[in-house]
Amino acid sequence: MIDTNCHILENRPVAVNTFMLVLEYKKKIDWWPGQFVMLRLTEALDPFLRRPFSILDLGDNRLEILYRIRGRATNMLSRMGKGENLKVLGPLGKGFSMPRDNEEIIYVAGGIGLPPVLALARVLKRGHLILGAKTFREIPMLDRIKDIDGIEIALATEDGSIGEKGTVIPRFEKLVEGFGPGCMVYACGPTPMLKRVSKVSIENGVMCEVSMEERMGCGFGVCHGCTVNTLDGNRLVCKDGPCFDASKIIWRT
Amino acid sequence: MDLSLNIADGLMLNNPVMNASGTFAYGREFSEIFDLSIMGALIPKALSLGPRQGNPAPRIVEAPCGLINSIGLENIGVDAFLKRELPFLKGFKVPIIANFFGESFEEYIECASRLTVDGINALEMNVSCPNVKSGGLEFGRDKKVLSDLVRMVKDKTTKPIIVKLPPIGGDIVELALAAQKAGADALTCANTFPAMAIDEETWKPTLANYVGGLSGPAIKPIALRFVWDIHTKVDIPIIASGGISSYRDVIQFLLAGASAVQVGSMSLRDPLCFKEIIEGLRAYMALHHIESINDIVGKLRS
Ligand SMILES: Cc1cc2nc3c(=O)[nH]c(=O)nc-3n(C[C@H](O)[C@H](O)[C@H](O)COP(=O)(O)O)c2cc1C
Ligand code: FES
Repeated sequence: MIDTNCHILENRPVAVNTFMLVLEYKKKIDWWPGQFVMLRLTEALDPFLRRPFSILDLGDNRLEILYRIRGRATNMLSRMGKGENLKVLGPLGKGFSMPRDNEEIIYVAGGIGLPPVLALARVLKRGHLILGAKTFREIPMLDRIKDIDGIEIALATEDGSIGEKGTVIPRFEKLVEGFGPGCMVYACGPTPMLKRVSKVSIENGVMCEVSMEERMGCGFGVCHGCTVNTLDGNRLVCKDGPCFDASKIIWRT
Repeated sequence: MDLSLNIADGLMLNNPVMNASGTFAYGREFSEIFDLSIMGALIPKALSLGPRQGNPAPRIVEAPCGLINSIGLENIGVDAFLKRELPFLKGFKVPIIANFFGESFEEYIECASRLTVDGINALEMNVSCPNVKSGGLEFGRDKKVLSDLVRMVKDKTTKPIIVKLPPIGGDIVELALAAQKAGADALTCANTFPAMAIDEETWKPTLANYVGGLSGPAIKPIALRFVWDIHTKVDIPIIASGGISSYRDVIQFLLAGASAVQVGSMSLRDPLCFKEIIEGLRAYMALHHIESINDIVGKLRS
């Protein structure tokens, strides 16, 4: 984990309320899909806390982040432009684990849960990606996603504007039941989706990892703000996760 | 140039900057990004006799120039701390101040006596955490209860006792005087302020615990006033806590009468801020030809 100043190279809309942020990142550092960075938007004291963003890609002096406007801080970020400066603390947290050789892989992403899952699919270059969104216009960079080597992609939208109409779950169930145990599931998205994906995985005896979200104070394990309840007791989303074995999570209602 | 100061017997600091309890865990994460031996003192997270889970999430939320937390004093307990964390912290050769609390007189006393070991230089009593329904608040709210508590704890330990006061306007000076009379060696002023956040879209409280404590630059001017008010009435050293984010803030608190400071929320946002603040102090003293940090304490001009 290092804290470094980065210039914005690009910050452009790629779908409804969704932006692609590219930062010049000069440090050489290892990372793995599922890890994240904490961005400090301003030297001023408001907004005060940094915000967590999943790493889409990091290398060749570039850090790529895909984000959706969800509050005041992301709104501010969306109005920043080329050349402006951000402070980047990272890479943070524990990313997804490796699948076993020859194991079938299913990636499930809902809404803006896409980045960590997409990052993993791009690194592993095999498996099935099911991507859900409210509507066609909310899916970023579809052409790029469709072209990932070795990845079969299926889409579902709530309004049926592209792919199957409805959620990612029916397609996911079909795939999991087809593969049976010995397949590996990686998921990120809204909590109701994660709960369903994890339930279906467990019922089918399939290993599932979910990338969790929680409000964060620090992002590196010192404030204990981002707690998640697991069968092993309290865990920190920022340090013990964000990627967790789904069978260990005690979901909040 | 001399940044060192003495808070109490056995509590000599190389500089006046420490971390605040609860924003530093037990030091391991910070030690990965800077050398903890630069610190004036180290204060691990508040300890209770046994381990505690704290409150459910969400338990932290942004506020204007600060944050509200309802962690609920989650911690590993005194014994686990002594066994697993203290040996690591001792390695930095910096004074260690153990912050602790209890839900009863007996728990406070038992914690204090177990924490009276080599390697711990002082005890900071948290009598003011506004997060825990059954915890701290009552002890720090009532003059009589507070002085009984301080007296009993003093009896059970040879370590200097620092009382961390609750931020309640007006009465804080009374509480400070009561703590001093009961034998406190120093005061920390203050803790987080009672606060709340509500989501206007869902009509729900943002924190699962409904209420929490406000910290960060938002509370700095109020904390500064508390330090000043107390400084004019008590004789024991004051350690300031509340929104300190730069060396300039440190100078202001020293002028108001604090001998040392704690930095909490700011280090969540900028984990390297301790280094910047200490270096800033040095540069300030050089620029203004100030020989000793003690020459600033309480020197507010009229
Ligand atoms: C996340 C968080 C956890 C805290 N936990 C404790 C604690 O365990 N014990 C304690 O005495 N104070 C605790 N505090 C209060 C701080 O030590 C400090 O007094 C307060 O935050 C004001 O200082 P600041 O504005 O620099 O953060 C906590 C504060 C925060 C933000
Ligand atoms: S966000 Fe501070 S511990 Fe996870």
